Amino acid sequence: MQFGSLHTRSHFSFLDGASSPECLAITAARLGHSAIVLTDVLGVYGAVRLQRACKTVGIRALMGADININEVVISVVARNAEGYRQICNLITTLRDGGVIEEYVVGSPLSECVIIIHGCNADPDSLGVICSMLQKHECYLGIEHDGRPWALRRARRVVDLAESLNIPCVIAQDVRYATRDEYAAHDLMVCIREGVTIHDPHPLRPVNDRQCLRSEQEVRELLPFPEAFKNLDLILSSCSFDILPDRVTPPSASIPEHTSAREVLRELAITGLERRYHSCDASTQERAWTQLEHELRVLDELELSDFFLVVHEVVSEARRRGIRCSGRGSAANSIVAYVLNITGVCPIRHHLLFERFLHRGRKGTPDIDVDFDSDRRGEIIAWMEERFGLAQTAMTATMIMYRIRMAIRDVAKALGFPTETVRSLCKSVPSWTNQPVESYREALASVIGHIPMLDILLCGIELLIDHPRHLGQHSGGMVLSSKPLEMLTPIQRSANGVAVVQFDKDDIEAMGLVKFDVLGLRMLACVSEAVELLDVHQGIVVDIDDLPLDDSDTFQLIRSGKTLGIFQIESQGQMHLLAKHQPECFDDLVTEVALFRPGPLQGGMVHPYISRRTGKAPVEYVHPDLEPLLSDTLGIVLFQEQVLEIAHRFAGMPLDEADDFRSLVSKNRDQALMAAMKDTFINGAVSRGVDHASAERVYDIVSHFVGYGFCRSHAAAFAKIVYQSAWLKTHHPAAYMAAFMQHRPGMYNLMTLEEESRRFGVDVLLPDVRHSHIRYTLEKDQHQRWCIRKPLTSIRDVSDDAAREIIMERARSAFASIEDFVLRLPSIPRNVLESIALAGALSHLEQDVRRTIWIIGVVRQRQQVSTTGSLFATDHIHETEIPTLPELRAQERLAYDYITHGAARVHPMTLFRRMMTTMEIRSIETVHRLPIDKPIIIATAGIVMLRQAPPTARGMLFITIEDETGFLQCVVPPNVRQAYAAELRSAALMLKGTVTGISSWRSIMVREVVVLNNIIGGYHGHLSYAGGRDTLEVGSVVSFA
Amino acid sequence: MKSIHEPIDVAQRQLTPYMICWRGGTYAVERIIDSWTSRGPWWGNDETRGYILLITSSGVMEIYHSNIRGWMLSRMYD
Repeated sequence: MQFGSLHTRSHFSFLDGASSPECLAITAARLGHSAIVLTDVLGVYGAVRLQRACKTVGIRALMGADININEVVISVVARNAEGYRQICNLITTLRDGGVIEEYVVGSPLSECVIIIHGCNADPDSLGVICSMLQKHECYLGIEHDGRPWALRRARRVVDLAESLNIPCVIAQDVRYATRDEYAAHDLMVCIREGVTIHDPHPLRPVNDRQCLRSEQEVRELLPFPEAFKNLDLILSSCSFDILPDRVTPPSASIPEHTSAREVLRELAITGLERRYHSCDASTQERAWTQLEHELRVLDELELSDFFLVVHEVVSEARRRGIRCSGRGSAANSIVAYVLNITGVCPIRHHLLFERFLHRGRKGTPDIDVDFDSDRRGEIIAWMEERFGLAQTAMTATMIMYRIRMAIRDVAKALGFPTETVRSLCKSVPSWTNQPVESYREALASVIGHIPMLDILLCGIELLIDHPRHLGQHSGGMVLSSKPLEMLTPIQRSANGVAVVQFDKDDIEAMGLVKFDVLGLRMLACVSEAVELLDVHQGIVVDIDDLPLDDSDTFQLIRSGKTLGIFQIESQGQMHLLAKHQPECFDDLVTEVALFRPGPLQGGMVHPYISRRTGKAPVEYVHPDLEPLLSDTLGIVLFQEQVLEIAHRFAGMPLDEADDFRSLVSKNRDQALMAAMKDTFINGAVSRGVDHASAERVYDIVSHFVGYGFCRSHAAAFAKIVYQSAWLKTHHPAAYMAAFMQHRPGMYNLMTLEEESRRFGVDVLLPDVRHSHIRYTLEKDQHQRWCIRKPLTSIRDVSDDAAREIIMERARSAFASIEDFVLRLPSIPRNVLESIALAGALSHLEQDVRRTIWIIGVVRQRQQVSTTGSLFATDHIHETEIPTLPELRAQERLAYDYITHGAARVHPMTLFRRMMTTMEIRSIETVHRLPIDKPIIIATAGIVMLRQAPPTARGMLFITIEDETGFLQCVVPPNVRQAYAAELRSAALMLKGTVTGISSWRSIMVREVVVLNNIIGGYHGHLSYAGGRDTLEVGSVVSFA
Repeated sequence: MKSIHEPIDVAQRQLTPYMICWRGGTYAVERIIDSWTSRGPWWGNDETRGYILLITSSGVMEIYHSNIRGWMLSRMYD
């Protein structure tokens, strides 16, 4: 006779179930159950995991879902695949706002079993529900929940069942696997219901009996043999496996009488001939060999359709002029390259196909394609149309409890005040995997070592790694050949996007294809720059076909003037560029890969630079590594190298080597790492490597922890680096205009405008005569290209308002402020004032205060005239306008910051004379200083960036900016401590020793003074960030 | 109903109480009416109680066995 839990909620019943499907499966097997039915609330999120876990422990996994009708809980259990589809359909409908009673009554649930849980239901509602569902195969579930009168309630349900002629079945209400998990369940209920742990609530558990129990235990509690027989009947009759043996990709467009394999082959050969026609014979031969190999693998893994679909999407994007670029490990594939999915030649850049795909790979490979972020929506809409709305949806992500989220929820449940909860959250890093106990001191710094601290830590421990809610993947689109409702319910995200109930791993396990449609703002920036060049300057650029050896471009990169260039604009990257001095495209690939947590934490950056600059010899721990690491001078920089070392040096098969690579990168499971270490060393030794060398190589490879790039991804990114650097070098006006439009980088608008000016490109103020909705280019009186800020760059000016102004000026030019206000009656007064303060009306009236006065009076009279007042007059006479003080320089700049994000001249300009007298030098002066002898200098600027990366051992990096440039200043821990208060100010004077390399300069700070204390006298000065703190004493910012 | 909360001695046969000793008196268990469990706050002493509602020779008693206090008489019903 079969026994199992028929009513089991996992932690995918968010903030209710307290155990993972895996944990439930293991416990059920230990208790001797033959099957387990997962019935999460309106969801089948745990289906894949349960199925996998049950296969491992040797019991059967069955799927169902819990729904609530008039406060009566019913479980709908799938008898087979069709039943599962019916459940998915039911959940989709209910989540979409369907009326539950009507649906359940009328829906085809022919392949499902319905269990009505009666023991804790209101008897009247129960009777109604039973009669409503009687046409389905329906049972009344009985349980013993360990509360008073549990058996009596069960008997009452049995009696009701007899009277209605409905069979009874044992259906214990399980919310967690073992008794100890009751605490997590209780805490989750408190969080869900918004009560503290000290408040009573009817849904809170009173005991720990909602766990899995053995058959014997349940039989002792519920003496109803017939109900056990019915349980056996249900379990025996249900059978369903959600995990297929094969991938089910969406159907590609294939002409009749041909196969996907043939079409792919034909396309690939055409593409190869196009891509390699100008290459030498040897490269062509290698390309052909590689292509044949890849096509064979794709055929064997039945992925031809998948590649054709990706090709179709990318081709459609290109046809529509939407810039896109394949990234990630897909760039290791020559098929992806010749199909134009990626843009980096795997032969030329020695990219390893096996990092992307090999015969041992289970599931579909990841192909990530970046699209112009502005137009990504278009391509998603096209995909929905092409593959069918029913066959496309976004992948979900499970938002798991991490430390801060757990602290917030537990602290609230413990009843801490909101302010304390906020402080507790801020006291720990946002993302960390340390044991919970390690945060004791940090949390104690907020609430002290009180007894509640132990409870807080205990509660956090209970929640960590449980899912809290469902999220939406940033770009993973599921494409299916059959309607998705057969495999998963679809639910709508807050912004109306259809989302499946599974994450990317589950999607892969289900044989579905996920295609990452990502939005990359830099691609939008490059596209717009090319368009601006064409439209304004009449220059047509084929940005994808640039020669990759432009000396001016590399000169710019080497000089570190890379602010605004993709991936290499951070201060850390600029410093690295000064040391690395890239000379060719391959160097850019290395540059992109070097500045990653993997190489940085693995201590690989300095050895690489030393070897490159000839300060250290190129050495290999073992001669076998030379062919694998020669192009990175013996240093492990890329994921492919880890894979190749595991495969060729340690003799692991490719699939195992790929697992090793993945394990090393993620560095999560120490036990698995230990096992892999043995495999690695034994494999190397069996290949004839001595044990000591094998261990040393393992140590080196295992240091490649954290996030590191694969070479193909770095190469794909390096191409965008090169394109953006090329544009900035040769067409700075168009590039910086596009950059300001899309803002893909890390710097504020003021810094970007200053950078434009340093490149000889003026940034013109927004102007109602010339500005558009987007950034545009104009020639100044010297025929130099300048950037014109758009009307939408002005605070409060929406796209609609800007459109209205542009349409109105197209009719005729604005003759006066009065004319401007009168012709734009629908634009609110505050928006008109913002336009005036930004200086966009200065051609009509120089004095901003007069402009504001006129706007106010005209708008007022407009309102009065609409109400029909006798005294309303339309025109303002000059004599009416009062004499108003002109804006002072500081006020002018402050209003610039407030209204359009950047001042027309750098605010530091105002204080240059005073600072020169004080021997505070400009940043440009610092950049001119030699570094062969220690020079102490004082300089000052507005703080652009503050960074204290965990790898910097307590150092603080502050980047300041004046009208001549920017400078990174390094604050050692002791100075940081001594000047902690001063360092939070928005503008600083910093004194220290000049250090540097090549064109890079920095200051090792010894002394910090708040700049306002030196220049003084500007209290109340308006801030560009809003408020009045820009150059003020006491403008405190957080270092977080 | 009277709340008591005093320790008692309970004689059991196959885990089922048949005699209760309280304040020097003995009470034969005639019939068990119901049983249930409770668990105390997980952040506190984590006490688990197994309650039994039973009819004795001198009335209805609610007793419980606690993993911390042993057998206790919880309440008596007149």
